[in-house]
Amino acid sequence: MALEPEAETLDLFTFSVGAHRYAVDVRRVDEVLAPAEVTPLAGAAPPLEGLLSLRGAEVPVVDLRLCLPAGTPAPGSEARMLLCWLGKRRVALRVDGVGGVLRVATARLQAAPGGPLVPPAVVALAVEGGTVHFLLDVVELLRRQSPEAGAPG
Amino acid sequence: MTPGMDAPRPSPSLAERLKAFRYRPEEEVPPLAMFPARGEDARPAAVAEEVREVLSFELAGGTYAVALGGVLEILRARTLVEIPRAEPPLLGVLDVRGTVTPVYDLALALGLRERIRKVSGPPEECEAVSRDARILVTRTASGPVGLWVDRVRDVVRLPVGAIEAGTGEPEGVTGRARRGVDTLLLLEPERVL
Repeated sequence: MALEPEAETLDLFTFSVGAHRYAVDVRRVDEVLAPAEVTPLAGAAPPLEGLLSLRGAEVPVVDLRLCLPAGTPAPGSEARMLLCWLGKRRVALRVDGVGGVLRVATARLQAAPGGPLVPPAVVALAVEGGTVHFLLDVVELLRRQSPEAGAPG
Repeated sequence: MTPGMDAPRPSPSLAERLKAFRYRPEEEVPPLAMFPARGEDARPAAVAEEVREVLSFELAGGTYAVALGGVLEILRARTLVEIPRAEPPLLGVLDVRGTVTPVYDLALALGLRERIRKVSGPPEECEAVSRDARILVTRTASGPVGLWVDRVRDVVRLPVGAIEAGTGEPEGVTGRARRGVDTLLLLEPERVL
């Protein structure tokens, strides 16, 4: 036995976009907001929707539904905005629904296979209760959307 | 490259990739707010849409404005507590709920009037205070400061593109914008005083 599985755990925050479930590091999530009015920004290209005025701060809003595979959200899911930390700034991510906090043992995570079946910027898979959660590297996902990186499509 | 249908291989990079997944305040992020439109640099358009909220007011017949965000409150002008040997444009001080706040004659500071108004000290020596006069309590690096103005007008939302840079006329005027027939002169109180 070379390696003993570590008891190290990871706290995830789960949400859904289209038909898939995703997860980000729970420490990244600042707040879950009900969908609010977004001020359009001239020249902003999708997935950047505009700015959200949040208690005196302006927060960019990104429609994650435009960054991830489409699909029909699970019935009963309610659209939300996930206020997330990216570095020292916050961004509001529009999602189809939110789940909750999920603690997983890192040893149980599976590396994401490459290829077209896995959404972009997914670093690993967590299978809990028969549901696959894609662990999403949000920073990488948004980096791929920026024009310098050659936005897809 | 085989598409990812092969058996899940042990990935030495999983730990590495989880590192990127974990939130770190010092992580590098793409310049989000600046996403230009595809195929063009949309920054000028984005800037043009940006709006600055200012509070406009009258001073010696002209219309001026300061950034709304810096205005803490608007008080009806009243006689002030005299400061011995106060240097113009300091008019006196005012107790704003326990904070001793210096109040300045903005018109004098801008060279719009020659003599400082007498609004502090013994009542019989003070000039009458106009009903419309107001004291704008504004935030500065050295604490709240009161600005004596003739009349407060309204809050104006100015598209940033509509603001011309100030030409250096009175010190502290950082920009000007057309507002109907008027020209609004934008002030930075700290640079005026």
